[in-house]
Amino acid sequence: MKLTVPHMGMLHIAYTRILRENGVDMMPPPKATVKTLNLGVRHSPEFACLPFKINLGNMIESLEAGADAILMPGGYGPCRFGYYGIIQEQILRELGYKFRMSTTDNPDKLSDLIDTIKDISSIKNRPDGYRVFYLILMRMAALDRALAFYHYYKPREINRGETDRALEESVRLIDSANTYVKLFMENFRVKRIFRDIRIDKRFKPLRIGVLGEIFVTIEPFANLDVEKKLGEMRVEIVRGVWLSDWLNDRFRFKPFRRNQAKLSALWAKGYLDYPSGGESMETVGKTLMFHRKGIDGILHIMPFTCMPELVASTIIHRISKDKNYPVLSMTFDEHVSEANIVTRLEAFVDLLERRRVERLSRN
Amino acid sequence: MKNIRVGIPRALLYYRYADAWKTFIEELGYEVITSPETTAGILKDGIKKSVGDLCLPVKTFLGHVESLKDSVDFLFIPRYISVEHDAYMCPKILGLPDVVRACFTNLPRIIDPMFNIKKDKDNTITEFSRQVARILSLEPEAVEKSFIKNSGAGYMNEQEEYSLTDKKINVGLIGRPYLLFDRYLGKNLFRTLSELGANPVYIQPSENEITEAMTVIPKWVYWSMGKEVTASAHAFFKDDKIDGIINICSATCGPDSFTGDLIRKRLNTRNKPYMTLSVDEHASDTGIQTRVEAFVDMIGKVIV
Ligand code: SF4
Repeated sequence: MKLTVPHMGMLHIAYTRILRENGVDMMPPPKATVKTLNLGVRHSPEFACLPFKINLGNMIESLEAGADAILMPGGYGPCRFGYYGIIQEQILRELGYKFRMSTTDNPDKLSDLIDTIKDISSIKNRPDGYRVFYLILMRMAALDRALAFYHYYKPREINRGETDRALEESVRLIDSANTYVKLFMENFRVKRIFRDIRIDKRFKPLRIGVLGEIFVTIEPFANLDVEKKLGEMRVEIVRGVWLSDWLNDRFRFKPFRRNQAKLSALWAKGYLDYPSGGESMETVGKTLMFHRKGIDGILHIMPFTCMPELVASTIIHRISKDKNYPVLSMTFDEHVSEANIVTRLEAFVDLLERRRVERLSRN
Repeated sequence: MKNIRVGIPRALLYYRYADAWKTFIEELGYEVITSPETTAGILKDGIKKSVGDLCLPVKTFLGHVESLKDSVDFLFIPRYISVEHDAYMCPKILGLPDVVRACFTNLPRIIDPMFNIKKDKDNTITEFSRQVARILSLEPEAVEKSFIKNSGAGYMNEQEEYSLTDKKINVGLIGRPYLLFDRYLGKNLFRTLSELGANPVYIQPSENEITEAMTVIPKWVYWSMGKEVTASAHAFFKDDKIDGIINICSATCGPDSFTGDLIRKRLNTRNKPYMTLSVDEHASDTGIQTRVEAFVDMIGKVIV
């Protein structure tokens, strides 16, 4: 059985090696390309959201490459994500593919997940299941940490491209760490790699808070790599949504990290009093939090027709007016063009730069 | 003493709960003002107020708020999260009071109690009433009593009854009530069909019909109205007296993009004529009219 799971940011790096070592024949989908997207779009309902279409493209390409089992997390709303697997399976069967489909319908429930892992791997008992699962979570957290370093160092680097190489190297190191001890050591090395980058210490980059629907926000392919583009414009990214936080909110593997959904709800009071599903609460709450912390502006990322983020986007536009705080909302679907994204980002960065100059000249 | 006026926008869940809400609020001693039926002007106001790509029904809702806001003392926009244990409302309905607040300045106070069976279980109505009572400074017990008494008010009493006849072409209509029964948004489908000599049929699926429909599809639909739409579709596809089915939905509706796919692929096992009409603010009346005509024509040819 060759098992595949649709891509979500760097998640496949966190699990592939570990599951393989435990007897699962893991086959992550080929890296997404325009072809992937086109495949997904061609076979999806027209107004399905972008993550659905990219997932579907991933699935088709994996099946073509020899996978015969798909694992797709499920759930019960209120956003459409919980129903993805059902509709995708229906489409794939219609296309004539033969495969086994598992949807874990309670992705939030730890014991269900551990059972799933036990079912598909050579792991025999629960404690081992937990051990493997938490190692995957820690690896994910390590990857996110490396990315956060990247966000910080990229705008400050002196030799262009050095930070990108540091990130690649870090990802390689984390990927090779297949035990808790090794991971602990590699985390130190990752930090050192980034520290060794030559940076311009006096340069104070603009800071942009990046928020939005989690899939499109953390998947460079889906958002046309906006973070790298901003990094190259020498802007520091302060990301408000992380896959490891999302996982931590559910599985509590980082005891000192607060539950981000609850934290956001405290900030959002008065603007969004009950979550509208997805990352709506994080988007609203952290817009207010970033404003207070003096982040220069917000880039809000959402898939076209995404219900929770439409609610959030309406609200943060109001916040933007109330607090005179720049917010740029970007909607992604298969039609967005690279040129359009770049133009809008540049205009936004210019605006923030002007505001900063004004602010400095006033003081 | 001047009456205190509570406004109810005639959009979205109004088309499900209007009767219950009205009698409930009147019994508490307030005057209820509802906005007029949707017009081009109301929709235009709504579009002007909204940011981004909100769906047609939500934009319409904003238009109704605009038309009410200066003539009332309160707006009644409850936050319906879940009305049953295994389903939510659409995320946009979950966030509705906040969306309204975000789109307007100078609003009257919003009465936005939360109705959430998934969270409050048996206490849902108590919790709901407590919040209403707090906003209006009333006795929670009295509010609760009145809410319970009135919550049984039927669905859609304003609508004429449409039922099966044997004579002519019976067309089953499925869709969210706030599209289907809003004569402007729903392009007056009931009338259009009657004028074409067809008989429009609408049903409110029963518990049993819903349960049955949910066993035919691979996983139950976790949006209340999506579930009803799916169940009506199932009932219509099974029913020999129904000759064709029209599904009306808002073009960018999230839940409908998925349930539409389910209905088309899983439920239409007998290959009945089935058509999806997706409407948005650009939909032209004549375009819709032509499509409905062609559809009825086609059925006419199939059944004679
Ligand atoms: S269910 Fe569809 S039409 Fe209704 S509010 Fe949600 S997205 Fe809009």
